[in-house]
Amino acid sequence: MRNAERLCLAHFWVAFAAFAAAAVLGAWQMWVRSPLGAHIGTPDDYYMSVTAHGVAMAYVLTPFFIMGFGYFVAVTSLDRPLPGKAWAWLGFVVAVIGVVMVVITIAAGKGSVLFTFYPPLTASPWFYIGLVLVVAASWVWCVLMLVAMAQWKRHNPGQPVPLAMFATVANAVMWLWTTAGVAVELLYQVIPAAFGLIQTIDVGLARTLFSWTLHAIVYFWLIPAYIAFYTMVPRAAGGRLYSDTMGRITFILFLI
Amino acid sequence: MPETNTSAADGSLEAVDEVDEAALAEVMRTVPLGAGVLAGGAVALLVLGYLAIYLLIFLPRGVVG
Amino acid sequence: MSEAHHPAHERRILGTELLWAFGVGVLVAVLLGMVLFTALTQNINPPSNVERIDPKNLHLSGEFAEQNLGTVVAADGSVTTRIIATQFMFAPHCVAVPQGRPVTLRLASPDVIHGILVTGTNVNTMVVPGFVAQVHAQFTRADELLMPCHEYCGLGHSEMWATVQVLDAAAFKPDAEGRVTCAQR
Repeated sequence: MRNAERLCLAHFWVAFAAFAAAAVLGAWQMWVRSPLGAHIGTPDDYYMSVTAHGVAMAYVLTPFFIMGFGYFVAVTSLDRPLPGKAWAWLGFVVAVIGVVMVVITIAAGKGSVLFTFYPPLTASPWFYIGLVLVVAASWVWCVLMLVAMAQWKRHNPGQPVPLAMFATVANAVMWLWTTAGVAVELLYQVIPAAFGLIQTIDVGLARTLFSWTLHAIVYFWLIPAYIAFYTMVPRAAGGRLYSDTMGRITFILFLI
Repeated sequence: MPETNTSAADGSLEAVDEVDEAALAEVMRTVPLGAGVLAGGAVALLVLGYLAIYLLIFLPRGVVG
Repeated sequence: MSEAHHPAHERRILGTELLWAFGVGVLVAVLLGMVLFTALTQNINPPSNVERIDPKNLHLSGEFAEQNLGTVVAADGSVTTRIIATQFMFAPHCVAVPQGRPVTLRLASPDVIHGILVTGTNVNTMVVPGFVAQVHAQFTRADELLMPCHEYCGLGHSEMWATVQVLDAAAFKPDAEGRVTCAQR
Protein backbone atom coordinates (compact mmCIF):
# COMPACT_ATOMS: atom_id res chain seq x y z
CA MET A 1 0.00 0.00 0.00
CA ARG A 2 2.94 2.24 0.79
CA ASN A 3 3.74 1.77 -2.88
CA ALA A 4 0.80 3.84 -4.08
CA GLU A 5 -0.02 5.83 -0.96
CA ARG A 6 1.30 9.17 -2.14
CA LEU A 7 -0.30 8.69 -5.55
CA CYS A 8 -3.73 8.09 -4.04
CA LEU A 9 -3.39 10.94 -1.58
CA ALA A 10 -2.29 13.35 -4.29
CA HIS A 11 -5.44 12.55 -6.25
CA PHE A 12 -7.67 12.91 -3.20
CA TRP A 13 -6.13 16.25 -2.24
CA VAL A 14 -6.91 17.72 -5.67
CA ALA A 15 -10.37 16.20 -5.63
CA PHE A 16 -11.37 17.59 -2.26
CA ALA A 17 -9.78 20.98 -2.88
CA ALA A 18 -11.99 21.25 -5.96
CA PHE A 19 -14.98 20.11 -3.90
CA ALA A 20 -14.33 22.76 -1.26
CA ALA A 21 -14.08 25.50 -3.88
CA ALA A 22 -17.24 24.28 -5.59
CA ALA A 23 -19.14 24.20 -2.29
CA VAL A 24 -18.21 27.81 -1.56
CA LEU A 25 -19.22 28.87 -5.07
CA GLY A 26 -22.51 27.03 -4.71
CA ALA A 27 -23.30 28.81 -1.48
CA TRP A 28 -22.42 32.17 -3.06
CA GLN A 29 -24.70 31.40 -6.00
CA MET A 30 -27.64 30.70 -3.70
CA TRP A 31 -26.98 33.86 -1.71
CA VAL A 32 -26.67 36.12 -4.72
CA ARG A 33 -29.89 34.78 -6.25
CA SER A 34 -31.81 35.34 -3.06
CA PRO A 35 -33.22 38.71 -1.92
CA LEU A 36 -30.30 38.94 0.50
CA GLY A 37 -27.64 39.25 -2.14
CA ALA A 38 -29.57 40.43 -5.15
CA HIS A 39 -27.86 43.81 -5.22
CA ILE A 40 -24.47 42.22 -5.69
CA GLY A 41 -23.32 40.05 -8.53
CA THR A 42 -23.77 40.49 -12.22
CA PRO A 43 -24.80 37.83 -14.72
CA ASP A 44 -21.12 37.65 -15.70
CA ASP A 45 -20.12 36.73 -12.15
CA TYR A 46 -23.03 34.39 -11.67
CA TYR A 47 -22.52 32.30 -14.79
CA MET A 48 -18.77 32.28 -14.29
CA SER A 49 -19.43 30.80 -10.87
CA VAL A 50 -21.96 28.29 -12.18
CA THR A 51 -19.43 27.14 -14.76
CA ALA A 52 -16.63 26.85 -12.21
CA HIS A 53 -18.91 25.02 -9.77
CA GLY A 54 -20.12 22.58 -12.41
CA VAL A 55 -16.70 21.90 -13.90
CA ALA A 56 -15.13 21.43 -10.46
CA MET A 57 -17.81 18.96 -9.41
CA ALA A 58 -18.20 17.03 -12.66
CA TYR A 59 -14.71 17.12 -14.16
CA VAL A 60 -12.29 17.55 -11.24
CA LEU A 61 -13.68 16.15 -7.98
CA THR A 62 -15.03 13.04 -9.62
CA PRO A 63 -12.24 11.87 -11.99
CA PHE A 64 -9.50 12.65 -9.46
CA PHE A 65 -11.26 10.88 -6.63
CA ILE A 66 -12.14 7.88 -8.77
CA MET A 67 -8.60 7.56 -10.07
CA GLY A 68 -7.18 7.68 -6.56
CA PHE A 69 -9.80 5.21 -5.39
CA GLY A 70 -8.96 2.92 -8.30
CA TYR A 71 -5.25 2.93 -7.50
CA PHE A 72 -6.12 2.12 -3.89
CA VAL A 73 -8.34 -0.80 -4.91
CA ALA A 74 -5.75 -2.11 -7.38
CA VAL A 75 -3.03 -2.24 -4.73
CA THR A 76 -5.08 -3.50 -1.79
CA SER A 77 -7.48 -5.96 -3.39
CA LEU A 78 -4.85 -7.51 -5.66
CA ASP A 79 -2.18 -7.33 -2.96
CA ARG A 80 0.48 -6.33 -5.49
CA PRO A 81 2.35 -3.12 -6.26
CA LEU A 82 0.78 -0.91 -8.89
CA PRO A 83 2.20 -1.50 -12.39
CA GLY A 84 3.28 1.54 -14.38
CA LYS A 85 3.44 3.92 -11.43
CA ALA A 86 5.47 6.39 -13.48
CA TRP A 87 2.64 6.51 -16.02
CA ALA A 88 0.17 7.07 -13.20
CA TRP A 89 2.14 10.05 -11.94
CA LEU A 90 2.49 11.39 -15.49
CA GLY A 91 -1.26 11.15 -15.90
CA PHE A 92 -1.75 12.99 -12.62
CA VAL A 93 0.54 15.84 -13.70
CA VAL A 94 -1.15 16.16 -17.10
CA ALA A 95 -4.54 16.23 -15.41
CA VAL A 96 -3.44 18.95 -13.00
CA ILE A 97 -2.10 21.02 -15.90
CA GLY A 98 -5.50 20.61 -17.55
CA VAL A 99 -7.25 21.79 -14.38
CA VAL A 100 -5.00 24.85 -14.18
CA MET A 101 -5.81 25.76 -17.79
CA VAL A 102 -9.52 25.40 -17.10
CA VAL A 103 -9.38 27.51 -13.93
CA ILE A 104 -7.46 30.30 -15.63
CA THR A 105 -9.81 30.51 -18.62
CA ILE A 106 -12.90 30.50 -16.41
CA ALA A 107 -11.48 33.14 -14.07
CA ALA A 108 -10.63 35.30 -17.06
CA GLY A 109 -14.28 35.26 -18.03
CA LYS A 110 -13.58 33.27 -21.18
CA GLY A 111 -15.27 30.04 -20.17
CA SER A 112 -18.82 30.77 -19.07
CA VAL A 113 -20.43 27.94 -20.99
CA LEU A 114 -21.42 25.74 -18.02
CA PHE A 115 -20.25 22.18 -17.76
CA THR A 116 -22.25 20.91 -20.75
CA PHE A 117 -20.66 23.53 -23.01
CA TYR A 118 -23.85 24.48 -24.89
CA PRO A 119 -22.40 24.86 -28.37
CA PRO A 120 -22.61 27.12 -30.36
CA LEU A 121 -21.77 29.18 -27.28
CA THR A 122 -17.99 29.22 -27.47
CA ALA A 123 -15.38 29.52 -24.75
CA SER A 124 -11.66 30.00 -25.14
CA PRO A 125 -10.20 26.94 -26.91
CA TRP A 126 -7.81 26.49 -23.97
CA PHE A 127 -10.79 25.82 -21.70
CA TYR A 128 -11.74 22.82 -23.79
CA ILE A 129 -8.13 21.71 -24.27
CA GLY A 130 -7.63 21.73 -20.50
CA LEU A 131 -10.60 19.39 -20.13
CA VAL A 132 -9.30 17.16 -22.92
CA LEU A 133 -6.07 16.81 -20.91
CA VAL A 134 -8.02 15.69 -17.85
CA VAL A 135 -9.90 13.09 -19.89
CA ALA A 136 -6.71 11.86 -21.57
CA ALA A 137 -5.09 11.43 -18.16
CA SER A 138 -8.08 9.40 -17.02
CA TRP A 139 -7.53 7.11 -20.00
CA VAL A 140 -4.04 6.39 -18.67
CA TRP A 141 -5.73 5.34 -15.41
CA CYS A 142 -8.08 3.04 -17.34
CA VAL A 143 -5.21 1.29 -19.06
CA LEU A 144 -3.34 0.86 -15.77
CA MET A 145 -6.42 -0.72 -14.19
CA LEU A 146 -6.63 -3.19 -17.06
CA VAL A 147 -2.91 -3.94 -16.86
CA ALA A 148 -3.06 -4.48 -13.10
CA MET A 149 -5.90 -6.94 -13.47
CA ALA A 150 -4.21 -8.75 -16.38
CA GLN A 151 -1.00 -9.15 -14.40
CA TRP A 152 -2.86 -10.55 -11.38
CA LYS A 153 -4.71 -13.05 -13.57
CA ARG A 154 -1.43 -14.25 -15.05
CA HIS A 155 -0.11 -14.87 -11.55
CA ASN A 156 -3.35 -16.45 -10.33
CA PRO A 157 -4.59 -18.64 -13.16
CA GLY A 158 -8.11 -19.95 -12.80
CA GLN A 159 -9.00 -17.71 -9.85
CA PRO A 160 -11.83 -15.15 -9.99
CA VAL A 161 -10.56 -11.60 -9.81
CA PRO A 162 -11.28 -10.00 -6.42
CA LEU A 163 -14.67 -8.32 -6.72
CA ALA A 164 -13.45 -4.81 -5.94
CA MET A 165 -10.95 -4.93 -8.80
CA PHE A 166 -13.44 -6.65 -11.11
CA ALA A 167 -15.84 -3.77 -10.56
CA THR A 168 -13.14 -1.12 -10.90
CA VAL A 169 -12.08 -2.53 -14.25
CA ALA A 170 -15.73 -2.65 -15.36
CA ASN A 171 -15.95 1.02 -14.44
CA ALA A 172 -12.72 1.79 -16.33
CA VAL A 173 -13.95 0.00 -19.46
CA MET A 174 -17.24 1.87 -19.26
CA TRP A 175 -15.36 5.16 -18.90
CA LEU A 176 -13.25 4.45 -21.99
CA TRP A 177 -16.45 3.83 -23.92
CA THR A 178 -18.43 6.76 -22.61
CA THR A 179 -15.74 9.46 -22.94
CA ALA A 180 -15.56 8.78 -26.67
CA GLY A 181 -18.63 10.96 -27.16
CA VAL A 182 -17.36 14.15 -25.54
CA ALA A 183 -13.88 13.57 -26.99
CA VAL A 184 -15.26 13.47 -30.54
CA GLU A 185 -17.48 16.49 -29.86
CA LEU A 186 -14.60 18.56 -28.51
CA LEU A 187 -11.87 17.49 -30.92
CA TYR A 188 -13.94 17.40 -34.08
CA GLN A 189 -16.44 20.23 -33.52
CA VAL A 190 -16.05 22.52 -30.53
CA ILE A 191 -12.27 23.15 -30.43
CA PRO A 192 -12.00 23.80 -34.18
CA ALA A 193 -14.92 26.21 -33.87
CA ALA A 194 -13.29 27.89 -30.85
CA PHE A 195 -10.12 28.42 -32.88
CA GLY A 196 -12.18 29.78 -35.76
CA LEU A 197 -11.20 26.95 -38.10
CA ILE A 198 -14.82 26.08 -38.85
CA GLN A 199 -17.71 28.52 -39.06
CA THR A 200 -20.71 26.33 -38.26
CA ILE A 201 -21.47 23.49 -35.89
CA ASP A 202 -24.20 20.87 -36.25
CA VAL A 203 -25.63 21.49 -32.79
CA GLY A 204 -27.86 18.42 -32.87
CA LEU A 205 -24.80 16.26 -33.49
CA ALA A 206 -22.81 18.03 -30.78
CA ARG A 207 -25.51 17.53 -28.13
CA THR A 208 -25.97 13.91 -29.18
CA LEU A 209 -22.25 13.22 -28.86
CA PHE A 210 -22.22 14.92 -25.49
CA SER A 211 -25.19 12.93 -24.24
CA TRP A 212 -23.27 9.74 -25.15
CA THR A 213 -20.92 10.77 -22.37
CA LEU A 214 -23.37 12.47 -20.06
CA HIS A 215 -25.62 9.46 -19.58
CA ALA A 216 -23.02 6.97 -18.40
CA ILE A 217 -20.80 9.50 -16.63
CA VAL A 218 -23.16 9.31 -13.67
CA TYR A 219 -22.47 5.58 -13.41
CA PHE A 220 -18.76 6.28 -13.54
CA TRP A 221 -19.35 8.41 -10.44
CA LEU A 222 -21.71 5.93 -8.79
CA ILE A 223 -19.82 2.65 -9.19
CA PRO A 224 -17.05 3.44 -6.66
CA ALA A 225 -19.80 3.85 -4.05
CA TYR A 226 -21.16 0.47 -5.08
CA ILE A 227 -17.67 -0.98 -4.78
CA ALA A 228 -17.40 0.40 -1.28
CA PHE A 229 -20.76 -1.04 -0.28
CA TYR A 230 -20.16 -4.41 -1.90
CA THR A 231 -16.62 -5.01 -0.70
CA MET A 232 -15.52 -2.63 2.04
CA VAL A 233 -18.66 -2.31 4.13
CA PRO A 234 -19.29 -6.08 4.50
CA ARG A 235 -15.70 -6.53 5.68
CA ALA A 236 -16.04 -3.63 8.09
CA ALA A 237 -19.24 -5.17 9.44
CA GLY A 238 -17.37 -8.40 10.13
CA GLY A 239 -18.86 -10.47 7.34
CA ARG A 240 -18.76 -10.78 3.60
CA LEU A 241 -20.92 -9.96 0.63
CA TYR A 242 -24.01 -12.18 0.52
CA SER A 243 -23.55 -13.27 -3.06
CA ASP A 244 -20.30 -12.68 -4.90
CA THR A 245 -21.85 -13.91 -8.14
CA MET A 246 -24.68 -11.42 -8.01
CA GLY A 247 -22.15 -8.69 -7.33
CA ARG A 248 -20.27 -9.54 -10.52
CA ILE A 249 -23.51 -9.73 -12.51
CA THR A 250 -24.42 -6.27 -11.27
CA PHE A 251 -21.29 -4.70 -12.67
CA ILE A 252 -21.64 -6.52 -15.96
CA LEU A 253 -25.21 -5.22 -16.18
CA PHE A 254 -23.90 -1.70 -15.60
CA LEU A 255 -21.59 -2.16 -18.57
CA ILE A 256 -24.34 -3.46 -20.80
CA MET B 1 5.52 10.97 9.52
CA PRO B 2 8.07 8.29 10.57
CA GLU B 3 8.58 5.83 7.74
CA THR B 4 9.13 2.86 10.06
CA ASN B 5 5.50 2.79 11.27
CA THR B 6 3.39 0.14 9.70
CA SER B 7 -0.11 0.95 8.56
CA ALA B 8 -3.08 -1.35 8.70
CA ALA B 9 -3.19 -1.24 4.93
CA ASP B 10 0.27 -2.82 4.72
CA GLY B 11 -0.66 -6.22 6.03
CA SER B 12 -2.01 -9.09 4.02
CA LEU B 13 -5.74 -8.62 3.73
CA GLU B 14 -6.71 -12.13 4.75
CA ALA B 15 -4.81 -11.99 8.00
CA VAL B 16 -6.08 -8.58 9.02
CA ASP B 17 -9.72 -9.51 9.38
CA GLU B 18 -10.60 -13.05 10.28
CA VAL B 19 -14.22 -14.00 9.91
CA ASP B 20 -15.75 -16.33 12.46
CA GLU B 21 -17.37 -18.75 10.05
CA ALA B 22 -19.74 -20.35 12.53
CA ALA B 23 -21.06 -17.05 13.80
CA LEU B 24 -21.36 -15.78 10.24
CA ALA B 25 -23.30 -18.88 9.17
CA GLU B 26 -25.71 -18.31 12.04
CA VAL B 27 -26.21 -14.67 11.05
CA MET B 28 -26.64 -15.53 7.39
CA ARG B 29 -29.66 -17.72 8.24
CA THR B 30 -31.76 -14.81 9.49
CA VAL B 31 -30.33 -11.64 7.97
CA PRO B 32 -31.37 -12.21 4.33
CA LEU B 33 -35.04 -12.11 5.34
CA GLY B 34 -34.56 -8.76 7.03
CA ALA B 35 -32.56 -7.44 4.10
CA GLY B 36 -35.28 -8.60 1.74
CA VAL B 37 -37.96 -6.85 3.76
CA LEU B 38 -35.95 -3.63 3.87
CA ALA B 39 -35.04 -3.67 0.20
CA GLY B 40 -38.51 -4.73 -0.84
CA GLY B 41 -40.07 -2.02 1.30
CA ALA B 42 -37.78 0.64 -0.12
CA VAL B 43 -38.51 -0.39 -3.70
CA ALA B 44 -42.24 -0.54 -2.97
CA LEU B 45 -42.21 3.00 -1.58
CA LEU B 46 -40.27 4.16 -4.61
CA VAL B 47 -42.72 2.57 -7.04
CA LEU B 48 -45.72 3.94 -5.15
CA GLY B 49 -44.17 7.40 -5.19
CA TYR B 50 -43.51 7.14 -8.92
CA LEU B 51 -47.08 5.99 -9.66
CA ALA B 52 -48.56 8.67 -7.42
CA ILE B 53 -46.72 11.46 -9.22
CA TYR B 54 -47.47 9.94 -12.63
CA LEU B 55 -51.21 9.52 -12.03
CA LEU B 56 -51.91 12.53 -9.84
CA ILE B 57 -49.61 15.16 -11.33
CA PHE B 58 -48.27 14.21 -14.76
CA LEU B 59 -51.45 12.93 -16.41
CA PRO B 60 -53.70 15.74 -15.09
CA ARG B 61 -51.31 18.30 -16.58
CA GLY B 62 -52.36 17.31 -20.05
CA VAL B 63 -51.30 15.01 -22.82
CA VAL B 64 -48.05 15.96 -24.50
CA GLY B 65 -46.23 14.30 -27.36
CA MET C 1 -11.34 -14.48 0.04
CA SER C 2 -12.50 -17.99 0.79
CA GLU C 3 -16.00 -19.02 -0.06
CA ALA C 4 -16.58 -21.39 2.81
CA HIS C 5 -20.34 -21.76 2.33
CA HIS C 6 -21.28 -25.38 1.96
CA PRO C 7 -23.46 -26.46 -1.00
CA ALA C 8 -26.85 -26.12 0.73
CA HIS C 9 -26.01 -22.56 1.70
CA GLU C 10 -24.91 -21.73 -1.84
CA ARG C 11 -28.16 -23.05 -3.26
CA ARG C 12 -30.26 -21.05 -0.83
CA ILE C 13 -28.28 -17.91 -1.52
CA LEU C 14 -28.66 -18.40 -5.25
CA GLY C 15 -32.35 -19.07 -4.81
CA THR C 16 -32.88 -15.88 -2.84
CA GLU C 17 -30.92 -13.82 -5.32
CA LEU C 18 -32.83 -15.26 -8.28
CA LEU C 19 -36.15 -14.59 -6.57
CA TRP C 20 -35.19 -10.96 -6.03
CA ALA C 21 -33.88 -10.65 -9.60
CA PHE C 22 -37.15 -12.07 -10.89
CA GLY C 23 -39.15 -9.55 -8.86
CA VAL C 24 -37.06 -6.66 -10.16
CA GLY C 25 -37.36 -7.98 -13.70
CA VAL C 26 -41.16 -8.03 -13.42
CA LEU C 27 -41.12 -4.46 -12.11
CA VAL C 28 -38.95 -3.25 -14.99
CA ALA C 29 -41.18 -5.01 -17.52
CA VAL C 30 -44.31 -3.43 -16.03
CA LEU C 31 -42.85 0.08 -16.05
CA LEU C 32 -41.60 -0.28 -19.62
CA GLY C 33 -44.98 -1.64 -20.61
CA MET C 34 -46.71 1.39 -19.12
CA VAL C 35 -44.45 3.74 -21.06
CA LEU C 36 -45.04 1.84 -24.31
CA PHE C 37 -48.78 1.63 -23.75
CA THR C 38 -49.28 5.33 -23.12
CA ALA C 39 -47.04 6.18 -26.06
CA LEU C 40 -49.00 3.98 -28.46
CA THR C 41 -52.54 4.59 -27.26
CA GLN C 42 -52.52 8.15 -25.95
CA ASN C 43 -49.63 9.53 -27.94
CA ILE C 44 -47.68 10.54 -24.85
CA ASN C 45 -44.05 10.88 -25.92
CA PRO C 46 -41.11 13.11 -25.18
CA PRO C 47 -40.94 15.68 -27.98
CA SER C 48 -38.70 14.02 -30.57
CA ASN C 49 -39.30 15.93 -33.76
CA VAL C 50 -36.30 15.84 -36.10
CA GLU C 51 -36.80 18.53 -38.67
CA ARG C 52 -34.01 20.71 -39.99
CA ILE C 53 -34.25 24.39 -40.80
CA ASP C 54 -31.64 27.00 -41.70
CA PRO C 55 -31.11 29.14 -38.59
CA LYS C 56 -29.52 31.99 -40.51
CA ASN C 57 -32.61 32.62 -42.61
CA LEU C 58 -35.45 32.07 -40.19
CA HIS C 59 -37.01 35.45 -40.78
CA LEU C 60 -36.98 34.78 -44.51
CA SER C 61 -38.37 31.25 -44.33
CA GLY C 62 -42.04 31.02 -45.06
CA GLU C 63 -42.99 29.43 -41.82
CA PHE C 64 -41.19 31.55 -39.22
CA ALA C 65 -41.49 34.91 -40.93
CA GLU C 66 -42.65 37.54 -38.49
CA GLN C 67 -46.23 37.69 -39.69
CA ASN C 68 -46.67 33.96 -39.12
CA LEU C 69 -45.55 33.95 -35.49
CA GLY C 70 -48.06 33.40 -32.71
CA THR C 71 -51.20 31.29 -32.74
CA VAL C 72 -53.04 30.55 -35.97
CA VAL C 73 -56.20 28.46 -36.40
CA ALA C 74 -56.22 26.69 -39.75
CA ALA C 75 -59.26 26.08 -41.91
CA ASP C 76 -59.59 22.54 -40.57
CA GLY C 77 -59.65 23.82 -36.98
CA SER C 78 -56.15 22.74 -36.05
CA VAL C 79 -54.27 25.19 -33.84
CA THR C 80 -50.57 25.90 -34.42
CA THR C 81 -48.43 28.28 -32.37
CA ARG C 82 -45.09 29.37 -33.79
CA ILE C 83 -42.45 31.02 -31.63
CA ILE C 84 -38.90 32.14 -32.24
CA ALA C 85 -36.46 31.83 -29.35
CA THR C 86 -33.48 34.14 -29.59
CA GLN C 87 -30.94 35.82 -27.31
CA PHE C 88 -32.68 36.96 -25.05
CA MET C 89 -36.38 37.02 -25.84
CA PHE C 90 -39.23 35.01 -27.28
CA ALA C 91 -41.10 36.36 -30.28
CA PRO C 92 -43.97 36.87 -29.68
CA HIS C 93 -43.62 37.61 -25.98
CA CYS C 94 -47.17 36.42 -25.30
CA VAL C 95 -49.15 33.69 -27.05
CA ALA C 96 -52.76 32.62 -26.65
CA VAL C 97 -53.78 28.98 -26.79
CA PRO C 98 -57.21 27.35 -26.44
CA GLN C 99 -58.26 25.33 -23.44
CA GLY C 100 -58.91 21.64 -23.98
CA ARG C 101 -58.05 21.53 -27.68
CA PRO C 102 -54.96 19.96 -29.31
CA VAL C 103 -52.28 22.58 -29.96
CA THR C 104 -49.10 22.16 -31.96
CA LEU C 105 -46.22 24.31 -30.72
CA ARG C 106 -43.39 24.88 -33.18
CA LEU C 107 -40.24 26.71 -32.14
CA ALA C 108 -37.01 27.65 -33.87
CA SER C 109 -33.83 29.48 -32.87
CA PRO C 110 -31.57 31.60 -35.08
CA ASP C 111 -28.64 31.62 -32.66
CA VAL C 112 -27.94 29.29 -29.73
CA ILE C 113 -29.65 26.51 -27.81
CA HIS C 114 -32.70 27.61 -25.86
CA GLY C 115 -35.40 25.60 -24.16
CA ILE C 116 -38.91 26.06 -22.90
CA LEU C 117 -41.20 24.72 -20.31
CA VAL C 118 -44.72 25.93 -19.62
CA THR C 119 -45.39 25.98 -15.89
CA GLY C 120 -48.14 23.67 -14.70
CA THR C 121 -48.09 21.66 -17.92
CA ASN C 122 -45.98 18.91 -19.43
CA VAL C 123 -44.72 21.09 -22.23
CA ASN C 124 -40.95 20.90 -22.07
CA THR C 125 -38.45 20.86 -24.92
CA MET C 126 -35.10 22.14 -26.09
CA VAL C 127 -34.94 24.49 -29.04
CA VAL C 128 -31.80 23.66 -30.99
CA PRO C 129 -30.57 26.00 -33.76
CA GLY C 130 -30.85 24.20 -37.07
CA PHE C 131 -33.92 22.22 -36.00
CA VAL C 132 -37.62 22.87 -35.46
CA ALA C 133 -38.87 21.85 -32.02
CA GLN C 134 -42.44 20.57 -32.06
CA VAL C 135 -44.71 19.66 -29.17
CA HIS C 136 -48.31 18.47 -29.41
CA ALA C 137 -50.11 19.48 -26.25
CA GLN C 138 -53.48 20.01 -24.66
CA PHE C 139 -53.88 22.67 -22.00
CA THR C 140 -56.35 21.52 -19.39
CA ARG C 141 -56.91 24.71 -17.34
CA ALA C 142 -57.66 28.26 -18.42
CA ASP C 143 -54.90 30.32 -16.86
CA GLU C 144 -51.98 32.65 -17.52
CA LEU C 145 -48.84 30.54 -17.53
CA LEU C 146 -45.16 31.38 -17.47
CA MET C 147 -42.84 30.05 -20.17
CA PRO C 148 -39.21 30.61 -19.16
CA CYS C 149 -36.16 29.70 -21.20
CA HIS C 150 -34.67 26.72 -19.40
CA GLU C 151 -31.45 25.99 -21.27
CA TYR C 152 -28.48 28.27 -20.71
CA CYS C 153 -28.20 30.59 -23.68
CA GLY C 154 -25.79 33.25 -22.43
CA LEU C 155 -25.67 36.03 -19.89
CA GLY C 156 -29.26 37.18 -20.38
CA HIS C 157 -30.71 33.72 -19.89
CA SER C 158 -32.36 34.33 -16.52
CA GLU C 159 -34.36 37.26 -17.90
CA MET C 160 -35.70 35.36 -20.91
CA TRP C 161 -39.36 34.34 -20.60
CA ALA C 162 -42.73 34.54 -22.29
CA THR C 163 -46.37 34.27 -21.27
CA VAL C 164 -48.88 31.64 -22.39
CA GLN C 165 -52.52 32.60 -22.01
CA VAL C 166 -54.81 29.57 -21.98
CA LEU C 167 -58.18 30.95 -23.07
CA ASP C 168 -61.49 29.18 -22.71
CA ALA C 169 -63.74 28.72 -25.73
CA ALA C 170 -65.52 32.03 -25.17
CA ALA C 171 -62.32 34.07 -25.12
CA PHE C 172 -60.41 32.20 -27.85
CA LYS C 173 -61.66 34.05 -30.93
CA PRO C 174 -59.59 33.94 -34.16
CA ASP C 175 -59.63 37.05 -36.34
CA ALA C 176 -60.35 37.02 -40.07
CA GLU C 177 -56.98 35.42 -40.86
CA GLY C 178 -57.27 32.79 -38.13
CA ARG C 179 -54.85 34.56 -35.78
CA VAL C 180 -55.37 34.74 -32.03
CA THR C 181 -53.41 37.18 -29.93
CA CYS C 182 -53.16 37.58 -26.20
CA ALA C 183 -56.08 39.18 -24.41
CA GLN C 184 -55.12 42.58 -23.04
CA ARG C 185 -55.35 42.75 -19.29
